[in-house]
Amino acid sequence: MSQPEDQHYIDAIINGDCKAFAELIDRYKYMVFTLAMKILKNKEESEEVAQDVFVKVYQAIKTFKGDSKFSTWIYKIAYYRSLDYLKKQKRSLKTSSIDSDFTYDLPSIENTLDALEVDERKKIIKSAIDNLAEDDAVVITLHYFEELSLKEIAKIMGIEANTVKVRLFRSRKRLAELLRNTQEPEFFEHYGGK
Amino acid sequence: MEENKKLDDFIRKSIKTVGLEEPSVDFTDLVLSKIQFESDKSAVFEYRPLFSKSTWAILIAIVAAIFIYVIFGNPDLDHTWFSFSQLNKMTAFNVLGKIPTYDVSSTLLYGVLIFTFFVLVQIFLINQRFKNHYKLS
Repeated sequence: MSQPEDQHYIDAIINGDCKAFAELIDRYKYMVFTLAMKILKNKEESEEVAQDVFVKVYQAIKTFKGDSKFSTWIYKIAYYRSLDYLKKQKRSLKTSSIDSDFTYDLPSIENTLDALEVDERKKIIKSAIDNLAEDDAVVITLHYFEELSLKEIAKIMGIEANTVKVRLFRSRKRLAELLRNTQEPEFFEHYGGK
Repeated sequence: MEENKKLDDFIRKSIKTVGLEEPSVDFTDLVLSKIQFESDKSAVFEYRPLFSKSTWAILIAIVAAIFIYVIFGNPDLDHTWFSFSQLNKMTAFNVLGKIPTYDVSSTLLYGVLIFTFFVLVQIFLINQRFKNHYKLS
């Protein structure tokens, strides 16, 4: 969504229009909830954190100066709120694995996936993403779904753009590796019955 | 390079296929009611001072003005709105002299004093207890 549109709602909220905030919630709830899910891997906890994110956004909306995009600001709050929740539960992030020498046959992976029913394909890809390290899943989602630049992702996660680039490169490869594993017979045994 | 581009496209296509996670159907309503609850809570438990800041400012200004007037303004201090001689008539009633006197033993006196002291301490402690009890985290 474009920045001026967001700004229109932000101004309305500051002037006490609660309905304008409902518009913003509807616009960003999916991504905020997805980011929380990538980190917490639990629906109930992610729902709670995502709701808290919007309460926090509402309370702090006057402090939004418009230096960055509103979406970057809200995703940053979502990312750090999820990390805080994890910390409170004394859980920690998984670390991503170091590059392996794995070579992938992309057409073969694609063919295997394309041969599946849409729902089945979705399930398999989702399962592969869930098996990525939390930060990698966040980077991949922000870059490929939200089409955010490395710079914007770096801002959200509080790391260098170069680190995002390396992480993106690595997690892309790792995801392909996880998807290749779908070709293993035991994987289909696991999903075949459903 | 070509390989990277292909992988990039493949991952993009895969991520778009999966889409985003969906929160509960009433997510927006839940957030709005949470916000409403938070604002109601802060309205109910908001600390409201007995004197507002502006009242304090006015009071301080009045007191300061009186002091400045008395010190630097050379006011006519002999001026009186009523005659003090009238006050002398009040002494004729001898109110204090009319209060009957009782002999109280020292033990009773100390007892009453200590009792009063403990009542005052309890007021303070109960006050603290209630303050903590209703304090919001």
